[in-house]
Amino acid sequence: MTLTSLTFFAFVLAVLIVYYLIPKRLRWLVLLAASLVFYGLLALKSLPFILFTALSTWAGALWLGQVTRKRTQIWNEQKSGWDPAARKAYKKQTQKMKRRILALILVLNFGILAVLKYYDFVVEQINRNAGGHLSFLGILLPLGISFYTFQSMGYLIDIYGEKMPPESNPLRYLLYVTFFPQIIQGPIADYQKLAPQLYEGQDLRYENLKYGFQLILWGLFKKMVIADRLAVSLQSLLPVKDEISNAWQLLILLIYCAQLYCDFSGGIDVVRGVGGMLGIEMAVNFKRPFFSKGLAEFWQRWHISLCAWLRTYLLYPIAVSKPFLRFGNRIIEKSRSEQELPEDSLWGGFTFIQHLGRVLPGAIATLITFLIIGIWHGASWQYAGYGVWNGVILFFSMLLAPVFQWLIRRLHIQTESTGWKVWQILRTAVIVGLSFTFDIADGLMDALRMIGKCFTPVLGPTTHLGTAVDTGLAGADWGVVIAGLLIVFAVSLYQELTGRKVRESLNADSAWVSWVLTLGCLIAVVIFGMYGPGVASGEFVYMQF
Amino acid sequence: MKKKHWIKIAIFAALTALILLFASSLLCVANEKDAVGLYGFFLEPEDSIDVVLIGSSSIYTGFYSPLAYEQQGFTSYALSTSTMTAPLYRYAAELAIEKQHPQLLIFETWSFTYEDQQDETSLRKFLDALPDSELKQRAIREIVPEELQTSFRNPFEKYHSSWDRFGELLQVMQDKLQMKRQGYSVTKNFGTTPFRQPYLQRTTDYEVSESGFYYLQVLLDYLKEAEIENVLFIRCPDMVQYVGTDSYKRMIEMIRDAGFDFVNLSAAVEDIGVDIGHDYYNTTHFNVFGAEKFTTFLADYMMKRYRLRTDHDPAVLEEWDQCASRNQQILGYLEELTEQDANGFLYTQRDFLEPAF
Repeated sequence: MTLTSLTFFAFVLAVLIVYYLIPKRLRWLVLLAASLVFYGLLALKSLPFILFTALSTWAGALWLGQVTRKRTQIWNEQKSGWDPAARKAYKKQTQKMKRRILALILVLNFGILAVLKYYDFVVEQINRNAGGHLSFLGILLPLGISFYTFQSMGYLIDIYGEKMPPESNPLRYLLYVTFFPQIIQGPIADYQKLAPQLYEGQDLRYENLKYGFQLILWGLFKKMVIADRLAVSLQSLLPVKDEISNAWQLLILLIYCAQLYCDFSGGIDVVRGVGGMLGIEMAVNFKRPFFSKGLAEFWQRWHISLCAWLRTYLLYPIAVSKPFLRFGNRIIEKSRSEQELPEDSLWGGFTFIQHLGRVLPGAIATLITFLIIGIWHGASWQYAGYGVWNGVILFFSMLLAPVFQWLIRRLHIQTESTGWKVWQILRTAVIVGLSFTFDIADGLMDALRMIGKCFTPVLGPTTHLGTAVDTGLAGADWGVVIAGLLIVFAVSLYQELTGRKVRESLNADSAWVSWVLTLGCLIAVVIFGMYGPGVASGEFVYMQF
Repeated sequence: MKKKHWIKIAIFAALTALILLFASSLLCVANEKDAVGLYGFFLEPEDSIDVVLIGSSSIYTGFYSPLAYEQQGFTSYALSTSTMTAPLYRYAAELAIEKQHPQLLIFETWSFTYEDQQDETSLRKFLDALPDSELKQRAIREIVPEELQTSFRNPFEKYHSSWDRFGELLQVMQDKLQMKRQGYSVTKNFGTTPFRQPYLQRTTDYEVSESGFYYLQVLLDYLKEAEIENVLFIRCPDMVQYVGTDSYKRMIEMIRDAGFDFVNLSAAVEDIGVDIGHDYYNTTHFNVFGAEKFTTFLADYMMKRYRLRTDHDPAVLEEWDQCASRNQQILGYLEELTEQDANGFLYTQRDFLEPAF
């Protein structure tokens, strides 16, 4: 039962009917039962893993909550009796206790993730480089482990940070962890935004059904009409990528960019659409990433929920951690005696050292975060390379930002002009596109070689087969892909320029046009979608992560 | 939700269903010729066909029913699709009996030599062209490989991607509509290619496959159980010289033991009067000249051997008279094209629909 299968939609329909038929206060139970059934049908063997994570996080959060409550209670009781030193000592003591609880649950859960995801990779490295003979675990990754682990740990850290009280009902918490539409590939949900919607029981509203249905169709269009077609082409092109010309290699990268975006964002649209039909608004995971004018902006528009998680729970804590702040301050201290510079100087009114002191902690934290993003994608050097590629580019762009500003001023570039914005968008797309080489290459060295090939002349000595390459798709299929991509581009451009969703605009302006387009989209998916015997539809690229 | 919202949803669902139904009937076509050919069978009035011929392409390229009617007065139809495999015979026979209760059933035996009796394409040419029925569902359950059964039950799953044949499929739909308006099929599923194949000497062992034996037995059991009296198994003539093998002899024995007839017409080319370098469009199929000779010979054989009754309702006779009245025009046209070795296209009843032809 994949997200694009008829079985899945029959399942969703059944859930919708039952959900809206039973009393509101019990509706969350329907979602829980549906989520467990869905997960069980998809990956029964993985069920113990997700149950363990849910249970351990729920218990850990409850424990943390108890410690916090007890501390508050004792504080209140001892309001006048304690001097500041005693109060501080007690706070330190409880903080220590809480840190231990947090560390225990984090280590347990991230430990499971790390062992299952990276153990075999580490063993392979040891066996290969140190002549070891360690045996592999050979266990298939539990379905959605990265997503539910991150989501659960985010909840736990929030409880630790006392942003909210813990959920006392284990079943309610289990629903938050296992909520069926998002379990396969996210988005990673913020507890405070998702959980209340899950628990309160939503009313049956026509707008929810309509918007949700339209979002599902749009997602299926991107996934089944475009991405799955391009996947067929990549299956033909990737095995011969070493034999084909540089131009074809660039084309492979373009195809992969389009496929990955349509696959992942399409899948997320289906997930959000199902949520929408249930009256539950789930986190937005994509905001037209290929309109980004810089790599940092790209990462605020691509896989938003993961990046937001990493920003909140990793990047900021590292950047504002005591060692990092001390490190930055020490550098700034060193250059304090130097004379002050004008605002429009090369380093933006600071000396180089002062600038370093200001941005280096954040830049190093960014580098670390992206290394982790890379490794999160998979246990291999090429994914580490993916992280390093992004991290290093962002590191230097942060470091050299004042220089770029200085150059822009010196060259009198109109940064508000369309030409400049288009240049920024294209530049970002190239950087992002090249980074995807790490995804499709056969290892780190192959990725670097592919990137190198992209920078050598198109008609260089590596041109073997020329135009005789089999793209795996017929001309008519390419017509569908190009038309589909143009539609996606037009919709994205409209949203980018107006800030409005096409669905909302259409529904507001003309309900009939909206219905006709919905019907058109449905027919397009049914006719042009890639499914049926011999078609490996339903597999999502991000399922593997 | 308000009542008007439910109405909107209902209208949308109904519209979607209608469009999908249309798309399904347009796109679910495995083979254009076979789809139209089998459609014609269902247009024939019940119990109006005297002889049903079942088999692969050598049947519908070799036997021209309206000519047999003109010469002998019995009605017939080629319930035949290209590369029709043996498992389909039993269901084709059941269909023929259910709809027509024919006086004689004829089966072409070359299909029993196929190694892959469950070839998807071959099964689809026949099964996907049938309207939905209990028989079709049973056939899918019993002879289609399990992993393909879902897509046979719901052929749209496979054929939705046929949109790239839109023009041809629209033509199929038009042809069917035109045939429906006309009320019958003019050429009764006959098809030929206007070309004269020069003689090529080829010798092949007539080796019946193990699965061929299995499906032959299934067919014989069914025919006996259905108490069908007149059944003739034939091997249509072609350019190939067949070497009889033990399995060939075993096949004939099985057929005769079951009380049915077998005739190897491949050995009767001289009696039929076949001009080898002139009467075939390729090594295994007659062109229109060969088909005329073969039809004349086989119709005569059937009439003499089975003493077929030719009495029918006036309406049926009127239909067949109309078909026969066009024999000269259609066969003449095809002969002319064949003499010119016009081209390699298969001419079928679609090409002779009025008023287009």
